[in-house]
Amino acid sequence: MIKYKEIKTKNMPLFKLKKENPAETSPKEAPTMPPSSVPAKKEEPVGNVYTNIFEKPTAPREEDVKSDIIKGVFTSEEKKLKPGDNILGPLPELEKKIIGAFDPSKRKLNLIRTGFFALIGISLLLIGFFYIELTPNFDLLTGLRGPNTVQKLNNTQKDVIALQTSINQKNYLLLNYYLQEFSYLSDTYLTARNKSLPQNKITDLTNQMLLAYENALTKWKEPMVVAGIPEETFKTELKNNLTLELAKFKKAEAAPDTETQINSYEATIKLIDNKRLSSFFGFNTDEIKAALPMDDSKIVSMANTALEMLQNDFSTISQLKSERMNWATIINEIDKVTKSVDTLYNTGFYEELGGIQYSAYDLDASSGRIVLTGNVKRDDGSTFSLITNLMDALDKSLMFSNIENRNFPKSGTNEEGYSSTFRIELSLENPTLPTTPV
Amino acid sequence: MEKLKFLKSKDVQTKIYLVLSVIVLLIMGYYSYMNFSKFFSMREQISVNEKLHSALVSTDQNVGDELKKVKEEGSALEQKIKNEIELVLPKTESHTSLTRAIEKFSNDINRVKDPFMLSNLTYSEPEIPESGNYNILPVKMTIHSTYSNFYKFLDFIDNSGALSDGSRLLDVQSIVINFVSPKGSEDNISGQDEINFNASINAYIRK
Repeated sequence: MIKYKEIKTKNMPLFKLKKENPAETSPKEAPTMPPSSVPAKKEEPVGNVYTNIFEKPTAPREEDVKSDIIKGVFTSEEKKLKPGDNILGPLPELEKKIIGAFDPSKRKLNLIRTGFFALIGISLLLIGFFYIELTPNFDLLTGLRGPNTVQKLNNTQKDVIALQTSINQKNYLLLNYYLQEFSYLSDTYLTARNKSLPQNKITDLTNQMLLAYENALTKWKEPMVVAGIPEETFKTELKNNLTLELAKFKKAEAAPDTETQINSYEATIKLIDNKRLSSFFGFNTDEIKAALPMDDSKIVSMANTALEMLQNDFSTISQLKSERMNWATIINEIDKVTKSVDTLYNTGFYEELGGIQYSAYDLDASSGRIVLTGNVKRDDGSTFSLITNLMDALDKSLMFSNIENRNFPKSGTNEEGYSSTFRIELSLENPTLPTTPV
Repeated sequence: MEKLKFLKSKDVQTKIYLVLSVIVLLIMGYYSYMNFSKFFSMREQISVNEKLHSALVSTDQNVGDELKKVKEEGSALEQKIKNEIELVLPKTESHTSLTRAIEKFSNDINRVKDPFMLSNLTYSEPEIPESGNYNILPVKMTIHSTYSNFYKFLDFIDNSGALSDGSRLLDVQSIVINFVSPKGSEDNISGQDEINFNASINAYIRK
């Protein structure tokens, strides 16, 4: 590498460039130039025509002038200049620039600086690009190039959610239909088994129930969620869709199937959050099919589960039926217990032989209390014992509890026999329990 | 100011630019990496969503066809269920049809030697329970009956509300039975206990 000092001393021809341009010559240097107007002496010709082939120039040659100048400079400057002074004076401006271009540190700085600004430029472009592509509400260029990436993603996601919700809605409407069919068949089965229908009809009914159950199960298993979108999103969308449709049906003019549609949509909306569905669909259809014909208890269990879990008209009917008191069973139990105490009860010999005779039953489902009033007649006068025997027998029955009779009146004579009246109060313990022989 | 003179040095400036360049490069590298990852993941998800959408279109079509078919085929059953529910759990009091049904039952079993004489039937104003999708129509009736017909009456109530026969859902709330003519008594003509009973019955109305 050539050092600056070396350039300063060795590459002096640079001066030539400066001198060749008279316009840029400094006024200080002007006096050093030979005056072009100096008259040249004409020498007398010597010899023949061949002695001087060329005509001598009248003006002195440039080299001669230079050498004179240099000589003059050296001679004069040696006298005037001191050590350390610049012989040639200040470096001309042009050279400074040219020398600067060869300055490696400046070149390096320029390079780095250019790189830095290029980096800033690229960064700004990237930031701009990402802002345009990833800002959800950036719509300045939407007219030109359509939605940006994030908007496109949102749009496609919305499309997928809308379409999957439409599928879910249809699947749930189908699920509701199959469950309604199953509920109806369940109600029919539960009624039929009490009426002792022929076996072939029962088998036909259970097959239909199984088919409806399988259809409902298939719909229940249909995936509700896609593309990693949370289930809650689809549930909310589904509820909103069904509610909107329901509102349309309610606003619409009455048509033959409007009420059916309203009922169907209302029941379907209730199905979405029905947590008992998963337990209902816990029945293994393969096991059931392998063990056909279905066991009555299993069918009853399925039927009751379906009727209890669904929040439709079937479930309301089923609930009311299940809460209904079976009075016939209760009265039978009272008769049975009474007969165990008085073997002649209800044989028509009360007047002749005595025993227990009821005058009234007062049965109240809301309080669960029963009041039995009546008379007992005994020749030997043990009417109180008979009443207490009846009370103990009633107490032993699993159906009754809290047996009470605090007043024991007696009347009669040894000849006519003795009689007592009673008013036994008791509570219904569990009217669905099987009766126990006393 | 003297201290800041060193900033004019080309080497220092070069170093400053170099350090700044490295910082900008690091920040932009991280920023670009994160955003490009996000960008490409979004592009990929868009492509997945588009494919999924076209697959779901056919599923939607199939489920729609199934629903249409089920609605067409099941409309008769739906109508049947609707009619039966209307009989079992009507939307109105419908006490006229209930009166006819009770009287028909009474007449069907009433015999001279096996009486079931419905002497009074009273409907109260409907009651609104605290819970449930129904209202209650209370009915009170007074009946003279044999003990066996009384059991038939209880069966009639117990079997009410079956969709298959479309009978109105009824429920006995309370019964007061008076044994007016026990078996063996002089005025007994049926040969079995004859009773007068007052039954309080609930019929139900769908909300």
